[in-house]
Amino acid sequence: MTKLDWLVLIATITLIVVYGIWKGRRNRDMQDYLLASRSLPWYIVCLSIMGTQASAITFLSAPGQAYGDGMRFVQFYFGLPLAMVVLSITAVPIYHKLHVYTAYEYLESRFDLKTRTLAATLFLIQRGISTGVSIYAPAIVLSSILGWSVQWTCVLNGILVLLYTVSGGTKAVSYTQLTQMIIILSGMAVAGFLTVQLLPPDITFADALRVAGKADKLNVIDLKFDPNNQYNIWSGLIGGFFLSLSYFGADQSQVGRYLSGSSVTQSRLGLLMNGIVKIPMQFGILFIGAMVFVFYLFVQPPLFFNHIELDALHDHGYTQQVNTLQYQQDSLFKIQQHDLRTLIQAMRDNKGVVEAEQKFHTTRSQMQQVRTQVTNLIKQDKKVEKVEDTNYVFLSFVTRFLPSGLVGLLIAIVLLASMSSVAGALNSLTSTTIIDVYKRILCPDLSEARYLTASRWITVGWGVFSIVVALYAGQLGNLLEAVNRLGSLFYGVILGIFLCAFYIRRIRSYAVFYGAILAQITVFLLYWLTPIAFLWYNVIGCILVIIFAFPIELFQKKAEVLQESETVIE
Amino acid sequence: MLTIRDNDTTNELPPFLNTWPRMYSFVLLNLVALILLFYWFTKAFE
Repeated sequence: MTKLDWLVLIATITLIVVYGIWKGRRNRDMQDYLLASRSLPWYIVCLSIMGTQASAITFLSAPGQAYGDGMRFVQFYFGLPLAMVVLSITAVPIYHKLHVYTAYEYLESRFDLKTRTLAATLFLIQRGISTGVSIYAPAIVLSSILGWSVQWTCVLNGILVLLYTVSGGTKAVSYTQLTQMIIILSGMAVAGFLTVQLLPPDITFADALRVAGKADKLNVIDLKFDPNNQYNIWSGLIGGFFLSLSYFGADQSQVGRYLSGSSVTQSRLGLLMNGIVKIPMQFGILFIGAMVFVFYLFVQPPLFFNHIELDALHDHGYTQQVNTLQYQQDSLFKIQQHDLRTLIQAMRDNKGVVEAEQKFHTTRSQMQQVRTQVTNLIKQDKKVEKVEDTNYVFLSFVTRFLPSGLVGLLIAIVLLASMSSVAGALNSLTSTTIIDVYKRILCPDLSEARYLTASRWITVGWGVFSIVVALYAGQLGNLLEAVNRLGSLFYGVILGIFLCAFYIRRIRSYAVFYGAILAQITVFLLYWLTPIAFLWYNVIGCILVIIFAFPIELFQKKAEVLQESETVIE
Repeated sequence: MLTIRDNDTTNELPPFLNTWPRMYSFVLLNLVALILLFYWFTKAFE
C-alpha cells in the first residue's frame, strides 16, 4: 500500500466513525437508542437494510465465488423480492400497530412468554455467531495486506464498530450505513470498470463476455431441479423465499431496521426498494468476479491466492513440490494463452469454435489439476479436510493490479461493509437482549435511564463475544456460505413459529413451542446425516414446525376435553 | 402489554404508482424481467 492508499483508508474510516458518533449523540431513552425514535425516511431504511445484509463477506467472497464457480450464486436472491412483498403486506403493519421494539415481542401477545424466549434465544445464538464471522472477514484482508495477525485485526475492527454503535445506537448505525453504502457502491462500480480496462487492448468487452461464457462463468440461470445443488432457480426462488421471509420477517437485525421507519409507508417502501435493487447489485458484484477470472486468463494467476499458505508450504519443507507445480503451471499457462487466442479468433470468425473450445477446456482442466494438487499439499501440511482461497481472489487482484488510492478505498470499502453489517447486528442483539430478556424476565422495573445504560453495556458485551467468535472463524472455509448455512439451520424454525403466529390461528402456544423444538432437532439431524443443500433447510425447518405443531395441538385439545369432562363428572 | 399506536398509517398511499397493489406488482414484474434477462444472458454466452 502506498501513502495515498493509507491516507484514503484512514480518512474514510475516521470520517465514518466520527460521523456515527456525531449523528447518534442525542439519545435520551430506549426508543431513541434502539429504534432512532421511529423517525427514518424510506431511503435510509432501504440502505440500512442493504448495509446490514451486505457484509464484507459479500464483497470479498462473492467475486471469488464467481471466479471459481461462476455467477449462479445470484439465484440465491431470487426469493427476496417475493418475501419483501409478503412482509410489506403482513408483518410491517402488525409490528407498527403493536408498537413493538423486537419481532419476538409479538410472539408473546400471540402465544406466550416461553415461545417468545425460544425464538429470541435461537436468534441470539445464530446472530451472535454470524456477527463474529462478519468481523473475521475483513480481518483476513488486513492481516494479509499489512502482515498483522488476524487476531489483532479482529480486535481492532470490533473496537471501531463499537465506538459509534455503543454511543449512538440505531440512529448512528442507520445514518452511517447510508454513507457507507454510497461509498461502497461507488467504489465497486469504479473497480468493475477498471477490471475491464485492465484486459489486453486487443480484447474487447464482447470477447471478455464470450470467453467468460465459454468457461461457464456467466451461468446465471440454472433451470435444472436438483435438491442437492446449492444454486439453481428453484432453490433460489423457493429456498431463497423462505430464507428471506425468515431473515427479514423474524430476524431482529432486519426487523429493527424497518421498525425505525417513521410510518408503515416508509418501512414498506424501504423493504420494496431493497427487493428491486438487491439482485442487480449482487449481479454486479459477481460480474466483477467473472471479469477478474477473464483477467487472470491473460495474466498468470498465483498457484494459490492466499500467499500466506504458500509461504507456509515453503517453510515446512514442501519447496521442491511447490516449485515443480509452479513449473507445470508456467508451461500450461503458455499453452492456455495460445489456446485462448485461438478460441477468441474462432469466435470472432465463427469458425472452428468447437475444436478451439475443446483444446481450451483441456488445458484449463490441466491447470485446474495443478491447483488441486497445491490445495492437497496445503491440506496435508495443515492436516485439515478443506482449504479454500475464494475469499482472497478479489483482494489479491485489487492489491496487485489496481492503481494507488483505489486500493486504499477498496480496503476501506471492505472494512466499511463489515462495520455496517456488524453495527446492525450488534444493535439487534442489544435490542433482543434488553427487551426480550433483561427487561421482560430479569429486571422488569428499572428507569429508562438505567435501561439505556444497560443497553450500552450489553452492546459492549455482544461486541466482545463477536470478537472472540471471530478469532475462531478461520476454520469455516468459504465465509459467505458458512454464514448462510448457519442462518439456514435456524431460520426455517424461527420462520415456522412466525408463520403459525401470523396465519394459523388454531395453533396455540404449547403446540408451537414443542413443535419448534422437535423441528430444530430434526433439522440438525438432517444436516449431519444427509447431503441436502443448505437453502432447503429454510423450507424444511419451517414446514416441520407446522407438521409437528398440528398433532401436538390435537392431542392438547383432546386432553383438555378429557379434563373438562372429568371435572364435570366430579 | 402491547399497545396499539394512535397514528396508524396502514392505509396511507405510496408516493409512487398511487396504490400498494401496483407497487407490489411492480416489484414482482421487475423480478420476472430480471430472470428473463439473466436467462437470455446465460444462453447468449453459453
